[in-house]
Amino acid sequence: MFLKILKKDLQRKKTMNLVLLVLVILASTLVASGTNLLYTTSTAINSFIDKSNVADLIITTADNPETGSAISAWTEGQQNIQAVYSQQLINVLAKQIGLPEGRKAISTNVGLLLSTVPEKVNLVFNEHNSSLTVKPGEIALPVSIGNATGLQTGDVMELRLAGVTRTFTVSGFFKDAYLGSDLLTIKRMIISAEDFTSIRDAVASESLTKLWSFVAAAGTPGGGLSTALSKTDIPVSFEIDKSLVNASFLTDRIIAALIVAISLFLICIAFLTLRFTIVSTLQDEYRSIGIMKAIGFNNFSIKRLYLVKYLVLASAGGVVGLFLQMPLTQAMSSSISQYIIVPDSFAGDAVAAGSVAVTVVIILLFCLQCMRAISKASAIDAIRLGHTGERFGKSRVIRLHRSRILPPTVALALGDVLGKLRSYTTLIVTVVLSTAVMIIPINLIHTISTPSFIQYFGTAPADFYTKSEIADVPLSVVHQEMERLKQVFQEHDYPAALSVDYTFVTKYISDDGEDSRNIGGIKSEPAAEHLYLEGVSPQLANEIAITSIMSENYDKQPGDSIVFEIDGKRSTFLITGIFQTISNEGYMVRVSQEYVPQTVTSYQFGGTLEAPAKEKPALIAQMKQELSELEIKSGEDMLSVVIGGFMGRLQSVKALLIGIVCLIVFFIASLFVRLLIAKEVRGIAVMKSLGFTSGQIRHWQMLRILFLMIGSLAVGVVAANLLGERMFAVIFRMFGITHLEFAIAPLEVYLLYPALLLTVVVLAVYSSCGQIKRVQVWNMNME
Amino acid sequence: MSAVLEVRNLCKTYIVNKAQNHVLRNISFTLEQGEFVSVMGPSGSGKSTLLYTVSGMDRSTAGEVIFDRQKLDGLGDKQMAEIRLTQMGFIFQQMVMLGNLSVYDNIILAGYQSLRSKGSTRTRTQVNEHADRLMRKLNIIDLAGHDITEVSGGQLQRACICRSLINEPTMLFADEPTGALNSQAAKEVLEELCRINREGTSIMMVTHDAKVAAQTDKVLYMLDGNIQGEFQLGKYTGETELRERERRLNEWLMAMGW
Repeated sequence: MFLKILKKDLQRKKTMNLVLLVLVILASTLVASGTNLLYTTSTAINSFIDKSNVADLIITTADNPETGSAISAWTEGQQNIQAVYSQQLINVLAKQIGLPEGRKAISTNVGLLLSTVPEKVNLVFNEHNSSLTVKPGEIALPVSIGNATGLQTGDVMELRLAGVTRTFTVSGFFKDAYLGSDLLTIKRMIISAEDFTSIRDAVASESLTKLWSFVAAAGTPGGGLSTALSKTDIPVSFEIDKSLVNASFLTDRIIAALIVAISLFLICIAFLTLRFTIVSTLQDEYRSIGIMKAIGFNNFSIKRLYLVKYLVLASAGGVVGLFLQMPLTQAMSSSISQYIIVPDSFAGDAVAAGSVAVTVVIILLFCLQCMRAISKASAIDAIRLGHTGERFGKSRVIRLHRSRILPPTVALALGDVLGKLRSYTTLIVTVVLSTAVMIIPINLIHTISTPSFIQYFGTAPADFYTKSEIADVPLSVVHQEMERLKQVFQEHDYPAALSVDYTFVTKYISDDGEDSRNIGGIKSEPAAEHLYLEGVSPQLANEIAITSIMSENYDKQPGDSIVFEIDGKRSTFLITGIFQTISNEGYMVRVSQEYVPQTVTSYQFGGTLEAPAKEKPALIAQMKQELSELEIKSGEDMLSVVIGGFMGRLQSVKALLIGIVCLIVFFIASLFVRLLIAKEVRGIAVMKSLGFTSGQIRHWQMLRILFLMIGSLAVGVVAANLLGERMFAVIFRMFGITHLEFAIAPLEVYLLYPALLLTVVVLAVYSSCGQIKRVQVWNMNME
Repeated sequence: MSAVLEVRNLCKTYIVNKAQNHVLRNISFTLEQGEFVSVMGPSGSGKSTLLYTVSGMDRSTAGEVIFDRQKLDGLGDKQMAEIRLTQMGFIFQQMVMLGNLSVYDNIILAGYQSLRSKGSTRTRTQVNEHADRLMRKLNIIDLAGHDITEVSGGQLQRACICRSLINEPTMLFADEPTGALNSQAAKEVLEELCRINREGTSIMMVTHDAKVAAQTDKVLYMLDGNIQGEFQLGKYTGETELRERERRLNEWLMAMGW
């Protein structure tokens, strides 16, 4: 008998059941895919780092006997160090690489190192996850360079180093745990030992760098080697420890976490829809429930009847979702598996299956909770359709006869919305949640793609930027280059005021002298207007600005003093301001114009055009052509270089999200309108008898949903702007941004995407209003 | 007297599970201006279908319906809705009103809607005044601001009558208007219909109740989709002749097989 009732219910409420099934499938698919991806990504990153034998501390230094001796002396006295490996590397500038036609040049923001195949630590692997081999005349590149340039296996590239020019055939692309993540902008290129020796012998000794890898002894705390090294005077060009290598893959985890967040949102919507459909079903079937109770069915027997249906729907949706998650997970992890070794494991699928099972159980428990009304209703209540015959409050808000202008359909729609707002909870919450879930990533993407975001990387705002150079050079070299560039711009008659941002190494010394840390220092010449969270920019030689992360961790405020060692000289500085940066985990200092560091580790020129804002893009385009050797970039170009990879994947998630949100809103609005029409069929029949056309009745339905939508969209947008900022503030803090302010694109957030959702709803309402035409006068006799 | 409704050879067939169900078979009759006609017959004889088909609420399968000199067959949905809005009024056994409007707003709703029709010269104030007059006449003016759940069945049916008359229709269609009311309320509602008829509105009413039908001018008796007979009672003048009219009607109905 149960099966008969179930079959009848499935046939009668096709649309409602279909929407429920689709929601359960979507939620299950995304829950399974998100948890699978999160598990796989996390375990894959850890196992990849282990398989690559990434050292606990890796530094690069100048390749000279003094540094070598200093490191040897330090390591001998360190019980924390189990093994030390060193490897020679050759610095290469992007401009020294010639690529075949049709391939994009390697970004000058990427630091390049020529290396042989590492044998003991920091290993690299080919596309098939096995050890990399490179023959003479061949070069292997990291996957990220392959993706950015479009280089293919077999392409020929030229290295034009000072003193030697060599051509290499690209033999393939490798996976690199040490320097392979999106966030690290130093990349290795690997050639054979023979080629490496011949190039090394030909280039100047300044081009050589030494890579030192230290393996910690068992029991050494994380970061212990880094702390110990910072107490020495060893000049380090670049330092990274194992935990930072792991953290540098954070963007991959964020993508997986975003998918889990989307699935949670879908589960919320599924639950709301379930509640709505269960309540509607119970209302429709109150009389049947009463009769069942009257003839002796107990509460559980009646609940079981409905539970069987939801068990079938949830189980079917869960199974389909489990199968669908496989291609989705594969598609989502395909970009990750390009540069990470993702182990084939059954565990990921088991995690997915487990999460689907939990989802199905939660759905069923939720159904049971929604069915409490069955237990509460007596047989007589149920037969009387739950009406007690009493009414204590008036539901009318709109009084048609008092209005001089409101057309009847508008008044009806307004009256419905204002008088029965609670009955639209499902639709309102769905639209508010959908809007928020859609707008938050849009705000995030816009925030990190706004040119001003570049300031968080320590770069002063400018109209354009030139190539950046990563090299240990005296400051005088930077000044000479600045003069030369000024000359070039004058010759070409460009009205540009040039500036330069350069970095140098500083060492923070704690007040008790026990703790220290290498921190990048930055200076802009001439002084640029940087944003400060507190205080002002440093003006005197003994003044300094520190980041908010440093302020929190070292308990320093503007007005406090702080000790730094720069160019081997220890000085006490007065903190004048607090700023924030996304570089170096949020650790950076800014010095005044009066302070002159000796050695610069990297520099980049920027320029402000003295021209009307409208003409600037054309001028920059012209400069890009005429001064191609300077590799001029606009603010947007700079940003895409820095966060391009992460951005691309965020855009994919955004596209997926918009698709899902539109689908959900369409389904829910459609379901809602169909149920409303079914409930109001008698009223519709009367309206027809009064002379209202089907079109006018549809107009009433449409207006009602539109009024609800406009209100819900507004709430959703406000919630997205407020909550999204707070939510991502937590994530950005990990990168060093302690005070995140969303940059909102008003056109997209307030117009374009709300209009998209409104269009989807209008389509859903119109496509669901067809039954209005079929309503006849005798529908008035329906109960 | 001129005919307000002419029905010629009207047929209505439903197809259910590929089987044809002839609900109306070649029905012809005329309803004159100011006439009050009742339709009687056993359940399933086609009374309500006849009412809805001649009023354009439902489409006929064959035949002709001429209402106020206009052929209803072939009119589009919009034109039909316009006729229902401005020239016809409907009263049903189920007193359905829109829940979010007060009794008064339910009555004026169609009136306000008619102001949007071409050629309408009335204003909202005039509609309100007309609604006030009707409610006063039907003795429900005190209920104007009430919620529809706060009034009795008889009061609600009188409100439905006011609603049907708000646009001063040429003709009123009533489908068992007293069917869901107690005897006192039914009596009051019928008195109102008789008064409206006396004021010139033609009425076609479906009823099961011979006592109700006895107060109308003419009775059509339906059986199996056909009009089996027509009984002229003449104008009803007052309660004193009701018993005699009822007796004559019952005799005729018995002869018809009632």
